[in-house]
Amino acid sequence: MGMGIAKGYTVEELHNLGPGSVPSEFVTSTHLVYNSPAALAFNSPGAEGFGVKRAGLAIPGSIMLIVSPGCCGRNTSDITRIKGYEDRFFYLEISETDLVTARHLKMIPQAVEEIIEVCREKPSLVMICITCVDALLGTDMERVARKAEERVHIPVRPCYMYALTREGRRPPMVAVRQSLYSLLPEQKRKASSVNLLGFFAPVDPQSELFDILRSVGVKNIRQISTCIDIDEFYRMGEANFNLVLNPEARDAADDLRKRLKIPSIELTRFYGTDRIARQYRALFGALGIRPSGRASEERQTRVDDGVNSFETIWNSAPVRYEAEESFRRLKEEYQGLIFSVGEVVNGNPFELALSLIEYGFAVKEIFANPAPEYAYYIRQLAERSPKTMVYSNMEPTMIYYDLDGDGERTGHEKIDDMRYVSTSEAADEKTVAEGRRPARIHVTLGKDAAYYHPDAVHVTWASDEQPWGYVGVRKLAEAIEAAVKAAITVLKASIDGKKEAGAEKTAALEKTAAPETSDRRTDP
Amino acid sequence: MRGLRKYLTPFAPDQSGAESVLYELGGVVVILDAGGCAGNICGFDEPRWSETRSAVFSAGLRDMDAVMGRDRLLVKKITDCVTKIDAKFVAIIGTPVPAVIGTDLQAVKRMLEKQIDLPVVTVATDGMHLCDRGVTLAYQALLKEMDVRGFRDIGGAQERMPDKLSGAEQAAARMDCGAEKTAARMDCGAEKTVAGMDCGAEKAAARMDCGAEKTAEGIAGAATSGTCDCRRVGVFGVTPLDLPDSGSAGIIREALRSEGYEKVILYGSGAALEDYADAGRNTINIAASVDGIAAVKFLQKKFGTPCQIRFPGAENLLPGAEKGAERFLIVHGQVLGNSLRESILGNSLRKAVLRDEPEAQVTVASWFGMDDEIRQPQDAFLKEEDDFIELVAKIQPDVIIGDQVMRRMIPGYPGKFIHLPQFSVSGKREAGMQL
Repeated sequence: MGMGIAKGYTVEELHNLGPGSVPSEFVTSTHLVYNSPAALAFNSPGAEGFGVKRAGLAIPGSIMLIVSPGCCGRNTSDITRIKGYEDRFFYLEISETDLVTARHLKMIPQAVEEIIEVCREKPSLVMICITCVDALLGTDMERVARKAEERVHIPVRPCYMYALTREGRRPPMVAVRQSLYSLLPEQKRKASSVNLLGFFAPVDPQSELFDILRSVGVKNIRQISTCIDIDEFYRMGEANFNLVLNPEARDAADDLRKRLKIPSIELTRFYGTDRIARQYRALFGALGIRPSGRASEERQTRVDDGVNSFETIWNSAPVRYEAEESFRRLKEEYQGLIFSVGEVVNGNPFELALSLIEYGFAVKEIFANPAPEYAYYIRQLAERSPKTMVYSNMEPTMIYYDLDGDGERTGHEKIDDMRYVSTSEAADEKTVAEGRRPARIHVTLGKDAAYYHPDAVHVTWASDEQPWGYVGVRKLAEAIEAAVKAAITVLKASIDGKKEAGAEKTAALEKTAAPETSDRRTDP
Repeated sequence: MRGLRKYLTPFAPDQSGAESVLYELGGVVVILDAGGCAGNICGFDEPRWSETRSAVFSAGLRDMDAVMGRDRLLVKKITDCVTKIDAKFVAIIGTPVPAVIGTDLQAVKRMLEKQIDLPVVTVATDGMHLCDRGVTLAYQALLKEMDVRGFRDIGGAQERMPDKLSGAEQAAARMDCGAEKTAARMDCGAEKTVAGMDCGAEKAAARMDCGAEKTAEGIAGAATSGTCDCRRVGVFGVTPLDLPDSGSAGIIREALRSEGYEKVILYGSGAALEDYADAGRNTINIAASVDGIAAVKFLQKKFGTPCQIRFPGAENLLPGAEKGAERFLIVHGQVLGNSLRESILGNSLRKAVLRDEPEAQVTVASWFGMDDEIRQPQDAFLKEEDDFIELVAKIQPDVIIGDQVMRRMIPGYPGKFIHLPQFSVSGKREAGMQL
């Protein structure tokens, strides 16, 4: 491989290699890891979004003591700027001597006591966050937490920001969920209570998922992020079943099944409406509810007869229609859109890319590592869009990825490009022949993709609030439409501005020229 | 309690300091970590990361790599990388994980050097010290490697520095790049009796704070380097982590230009690897932070280049002292603190301050390393939050100059607090200074 080229593969190549032969570029343990600005949002256990630190404070009123070398807590000042996290982090910095003698472990109970003293209100929980060095030392932080708990008489729990174990059997984001849900006490189960596990921010309350659950008689739908206090959090222990919306919560759900006998059902976030429909069908199956149009059967399955009845939620439900219609509208208006899909999005980038292709758009590239379990999507992508490129954000050669601009296209051309199927393919081929990549990504999904295409239209699609189901699909289409519309407005304004500036310039030139003419006229 | 931080977030660690020195030098920089440290460095402590590309990578260590001590895998990863990435050298920066498992960085260096045709420097940082230590170690590692290989061999410069010669001989040798000694002096300004005076050498001598007298070699170096690059000044200890804010490098540059220097090289803020290779051509070197002192002293010993310890343009960071104030407390880098003290007590403000308050006293305190040679008896090194709280209670300053995050520790403080940003302390980037 020559220098100066970012190494990527087409989905066709990946499909031909098969799920058992994922190229080493996508296996981060085999190469140095490039922390490009694109990858930073996720490639650090505490970097952005809900890393271990923020997740560890998911329980209302909790505080965190980070026990680590100073470097591990360094970027926390960024999190302290987020509303609600201002005064919740404390640090116990450990030295080499501490590590050798483990004397810092003895200091923790006293440190917990001291930080509670400076809190304005008594915290509901103290999380003790430890890092790689304690992973190597094999520190039994559970025991230390119990000691601290005895001293301060409020719950103290450990959480582990072990970057070293990120690709292990129990990565940090899995462990932090286990640690949090381990607090749930055994309670009398209530058939009308369900927990949504997986996210640290709420699922979009407009999602049809809530209607579906209510339609089968669920009254209390609890999520860790919507609990107003620790008592409400504790009531999550009464759930009839858990819905696991993120595989990182699978182990925590398994713990709850073993400890509190709460069964769980795992759902996946999709953007393809067929896949969503199939999943809901499977969900109803798991709940013992059979789909049927007949009212008698609906009653048998304890489904309401009202607006949110089982029948209206099934495949023909208005929400599905709205979702598909929103993408149809988008396609009608901007049929030429070409996407670049990143992995810093609320969704699986391969499924998201496949969905966009199914809705009729082009996806030029995906920035994500193709794990073997994504083989289905890779196969589908290879059939529908074989030349779509896949890059790993973290592979060293990504330093050479050509951050493209818009080339020399005019504002008019850019607008036309987005509206219609591009007529500039020949120009693109020429660009490729000249050794440059065609600069024709119109829309990026995800902060990472946006980094690679600074001049495209950016749809971040990584809000804390989690999109879900058909409503999520509709909102995605709306977000893309709004962003493209806004970009076109700016382009038009720029074109108009240039026209005006041109007119002003001409007027100014005329004005400057006028006296000369006048002078000449008066010249004898 | 020792190590407990109730008000402040952790300060920039040594590994960030090391990286900030190496960032712009065109090497493959490997943070020997699992990913979190590199994420912290690139995503937080390195302001240039989102502006300019640099080949900074994480070693991507996994638990079993650490447990089994898979140095060969690390060497393989780096070797593979340099076949794909165009690099001038390889740097390996330590973090807590290699510190705990006792990775022998020198052995890794030797293993790598057998496999790749690039210089390898290692910086034994551990994430448990502060950024100033990392800056010092990175300068040392780089300069030491250059010393071993020959300064001109690493930076890609055309000429080879005769490294077996004494400082004076080297200085004379450097003159070859011009013409004969006398002629060169003439070129540099024949009307001047001593060429060095033209390039600020006299001024430098007057300000020498290094504690060492100018050696004969040093004088010769100053004079002759003046003939070669008569207005070239190197400033060490000026990485983004050393400076108050993004505008500070410009302030230093401007101040030195107004002193007559034509070429100002800020090692850590814009200098290229070639500038390190050419460090012997500097007329004078300045340490603007304590972490730059070792480097300027090394260059003084190596090339006889005179050095100063001061923060050029510090007076421009402080528009005015509080009239009527008697006691000042400056909490920042020690060198900047000293220069600010000089500015308060030694410039035009001095009269005003001393007329009103003849007992005016300025205490300089720092969370980072302090050099005993430039320390005054009242100055204080701060380690714990309680140290700062107690210092304020003890001296009861009328004016505190420092990063405003420290105000949280002294909520009842009645005096004036002048905000002088220190990112390495606060972790907060400033759009501009608020004085």
